[in-house]
Amino acid sequence: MTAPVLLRIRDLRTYFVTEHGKGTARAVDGVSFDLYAGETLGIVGESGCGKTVTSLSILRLVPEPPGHVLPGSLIEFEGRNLLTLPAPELRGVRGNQIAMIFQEPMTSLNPVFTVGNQIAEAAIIHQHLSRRAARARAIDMLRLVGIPDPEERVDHYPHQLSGGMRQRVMIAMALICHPKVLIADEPTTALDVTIQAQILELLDRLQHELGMAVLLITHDLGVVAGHADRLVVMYAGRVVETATTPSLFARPTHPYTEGLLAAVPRIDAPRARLHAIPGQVPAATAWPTGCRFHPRCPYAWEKCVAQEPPLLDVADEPGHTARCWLVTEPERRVAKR
Amino acid sequence: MTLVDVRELVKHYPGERSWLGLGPARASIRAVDGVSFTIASGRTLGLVGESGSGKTTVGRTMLRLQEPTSGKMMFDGTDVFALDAGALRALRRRMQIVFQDPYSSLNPRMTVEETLREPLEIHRLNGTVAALLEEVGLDGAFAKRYPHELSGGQRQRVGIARALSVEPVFVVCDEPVSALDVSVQAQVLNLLADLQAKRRLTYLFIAHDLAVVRHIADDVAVMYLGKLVERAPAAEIYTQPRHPYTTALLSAVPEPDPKAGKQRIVLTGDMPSPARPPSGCPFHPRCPHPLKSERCRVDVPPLREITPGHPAACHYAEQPMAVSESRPSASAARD
Repeated sequence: MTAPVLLRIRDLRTYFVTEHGKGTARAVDGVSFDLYAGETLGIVGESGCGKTVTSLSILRLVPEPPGHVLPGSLIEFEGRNLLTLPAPELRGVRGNQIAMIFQEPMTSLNPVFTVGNQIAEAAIIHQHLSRRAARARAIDMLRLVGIPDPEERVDHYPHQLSGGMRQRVMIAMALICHPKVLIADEPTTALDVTIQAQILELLDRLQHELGMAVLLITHDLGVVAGHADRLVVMYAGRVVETATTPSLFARPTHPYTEGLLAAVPRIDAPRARLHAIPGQVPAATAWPTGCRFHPRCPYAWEKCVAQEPPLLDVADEPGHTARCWLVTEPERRVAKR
Repeated sequence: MTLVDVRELVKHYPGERSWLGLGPARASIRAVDGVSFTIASGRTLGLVGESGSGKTTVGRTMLRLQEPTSGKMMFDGTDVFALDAGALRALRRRMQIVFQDPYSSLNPRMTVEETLREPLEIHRLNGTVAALLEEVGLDGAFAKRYPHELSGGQRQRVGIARALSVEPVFVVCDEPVSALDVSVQAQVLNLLADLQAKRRLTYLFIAHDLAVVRHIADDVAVMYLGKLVERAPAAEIYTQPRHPYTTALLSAVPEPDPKAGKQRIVLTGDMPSPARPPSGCPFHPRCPHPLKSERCRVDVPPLREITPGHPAACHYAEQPMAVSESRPSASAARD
């Protein structure tokens, strides 16, 4: 990677106090990765793996209480730790240099303001545009994200738009200040497959035109396969594997990644039984000891129960790491079940 | 042997009146608009479509969870839509449904045991809760738990056990795995396949995910705006789709393979409202078929057999569109 690091995340820990004060959910538990300028980094994992809390932590959007980011965590953007930034300075970053789009375009737009108002707001606040200039800019943004008749649509309310249109409005809102980083948290999960294809194509085009870095958070391996340059796989609050996209799909090394890939129903495969990962994700209040995947792992042995592996470099594949002892003892990759 | 025979099923929802119910009625919503199909005993029909296509309404109307506007549903020789309440209740034992959302379809105040015991008592059956739990792969200890203590996959297993408790022969599975994570989704799909083999069940499997349907269905029917646009054996529809909507839907599925480099048809616009369906072919405003013509805008294409056992509703189904031939998509979305 020759591009500069834009966002450096080190040992991020975001914990939640559970409802009855009985325990602590360690939702994100020591996560580290880098986001390079201009790239798309996919964060992949299932419900409860900590991918959404990671993305919320970056912009300090985790509600406190019950959540808190532990001291020692680092989220460095252009040389500043976002976690210790005073509120006014943080506001200068949020929505301006780092923007975010969410899964539910229905609930993340305000129903009582026109879409034009909502898109223009960030430009008025961050770039000190006049109302008139901001409105013109909002119309430009609506055109950029492919909404027909933007001069008319700018005065519409969210309920007058379809789900796909609303997600386009969310994207226009996020991009109006030309951010350097766009965090997209499951941007297409609530959409139908033909609309999903439209939105993903739009994000690809805008990234090219605007040159921003995208952090694409999703559970869908199909979505990242076609749209991410590099991948981070999360399980139980931890990063378990990182690699370039081709490398991860060609040589999934962590047994969780391997199992997840095998579990995806393929449209090009004949009818057959699917590979299922036995059991389920453990509770965040009681992660297993040792490797957190060992209770569901077909290869686990004593060492996996006793000691959690660090992220180990996979031989001959630069940038490919896996949190698995199999990297050091590959001959043990023989399924017991 | 045909177990389920749906003929010209129609379900229209009356339009609401504006102005607090005093104004003129709005156009009615034509959720299902003349759908016909059959399912042979022991087989699975996958019913595929996007939100608003009417696929869920088909499933619910077949079981009379909603009353149909018109049409016929023959179940093992009985006309389901003609039954009175008592006869219908008796028949419900043989037709069951598994719902999409295992979070809202279980009573939060009932333990798993109470949920599963209720149908056994109502229909005076000999089955036991323990046997049902074992059949769906849950430990007996789950009997004492409440739904909130279960994960999504476990809840869906309870939903399946409840449907099976009355020993049905036909089960409508309405998006049974779309709320589940990939690894758990695979567990539940395998379970449904095992139960079908063991109990010789017949499924109507409703889903928006074509890849999931491929792993469970013998035949696949595709819906668009309340109408069936294509139906074929599964192996055929995935390799030789005849309707341009099916082709586009297949090409839009993101494949978990970065090398696939697949060509995509990105359809423009959204599905129109079922209250104001377009004239002629309902798909014509979004259709990328190179032969699309004035005829598509005017004439409704009937569902007609193109090759044996493979009907499609397209004027140009004899010359199906290849993905590479699709009209270049405009980048603007249209309503």
